[in-house]
Amino acid sequence: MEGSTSNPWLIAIINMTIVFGVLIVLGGIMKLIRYFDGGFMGTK
Amino acid sequence: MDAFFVAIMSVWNDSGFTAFTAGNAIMMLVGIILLYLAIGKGFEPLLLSPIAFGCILANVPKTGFETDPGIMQVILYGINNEIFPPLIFMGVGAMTDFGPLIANPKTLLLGAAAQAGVFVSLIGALFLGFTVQEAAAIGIIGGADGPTAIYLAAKMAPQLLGAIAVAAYSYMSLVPLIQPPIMKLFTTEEDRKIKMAQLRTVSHFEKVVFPVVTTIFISLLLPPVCSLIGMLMLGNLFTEAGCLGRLSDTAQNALMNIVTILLATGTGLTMKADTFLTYQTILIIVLGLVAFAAGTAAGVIFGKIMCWADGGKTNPLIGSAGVSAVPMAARVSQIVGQKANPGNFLLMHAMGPNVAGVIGTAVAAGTMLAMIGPAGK
Repeated sequence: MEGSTSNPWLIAIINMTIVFGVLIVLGGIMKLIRYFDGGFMGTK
Repeated sequence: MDAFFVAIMSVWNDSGFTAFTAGNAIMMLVGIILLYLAIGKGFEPLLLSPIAFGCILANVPKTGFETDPGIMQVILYGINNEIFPPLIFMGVGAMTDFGPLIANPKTLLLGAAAQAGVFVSLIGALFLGFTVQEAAAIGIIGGADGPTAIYLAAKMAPQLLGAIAVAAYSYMSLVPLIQPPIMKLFTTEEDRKIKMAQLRTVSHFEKVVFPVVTTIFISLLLPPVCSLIGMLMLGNLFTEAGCLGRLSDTAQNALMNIVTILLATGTGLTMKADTFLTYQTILIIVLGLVAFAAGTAAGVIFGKIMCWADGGKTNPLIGSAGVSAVPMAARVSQIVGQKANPGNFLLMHAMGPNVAGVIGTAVAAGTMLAMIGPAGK
């Protein structure tokens, strides 16, 4: 992928998609951790 | 008597005065102005003071900082080889509480939206004639994250490192002046008055597992920023583990202070007249401001969308904290919110997008490194 494009619009769109995607997945991971905490660890 | 004059002439010829240029004088004046802003006006004094002093030192001719072995070369090595930014990130991690973010994960989206400023600036830089690597390094100023800006600049545009670092830290110190007018422009008085519900308590288990899982996920996806994210989360783990108090204390105090001195002084050392006094520097300063403003606006606009979507539960002002600048941007959200409604306490709510912005900027940097590649590729 390295050095694959120099089109600024493409760089911006791909980057924003990845930034949003990664942070959305992180949100999912947080919910999963909470689920495990409540279900298996029993701290709730 | 001749020997005396020969000795005097030898000292004079070896002195810096014989090679001192108008450019060096201007840069020393810049250093003195930055010192005044730091010490006299209190703009990020811990960072700006060593940067300013490093700038003065860098413009003394014939010092051999870049060629002769010594402490200055060690400092420059730490800057040019991305050693100091990850260490700073460890201290930042140790001082950061991810609790508000874990309690309200949707604020992650505000941290992502505020990264739009990075790409507005990147597009602008490309249209102004910078190379794609230089444009990426300039764009990251919009992330309002000094260590990430230095990390990316050292990898993608080392020749612009001084200008990018100074622009990033200058705008970070000016967050309380730059953000409020933009926040008010994109919100109504009613928006700013919205009170947010108290956040839930986050358990110890959640706080310990979060840094570990986040490191594994982001590092596997974007290996080029593993050192940044890894050190950020390691520092956070020191604090949250509950049994690593000594390590946490060192990371957020002694080590953080030492590395801040080295990083900031080293940044100043890159501000030599021949590389700094260029037309490009002026463009970088302007593009940095555009990036900051666009990031703030994007965060607030996304905050308004979130407010509309959740039926008025989110105060759009917390969106501006998505540009990182921890914790100053969150404090600005609190101050602007409290001016509209004295009973408004937005600080903890704004810390969510604020720390999400740190992660978002690192992800944006990693993505650009993966897509575009470092300088020379």
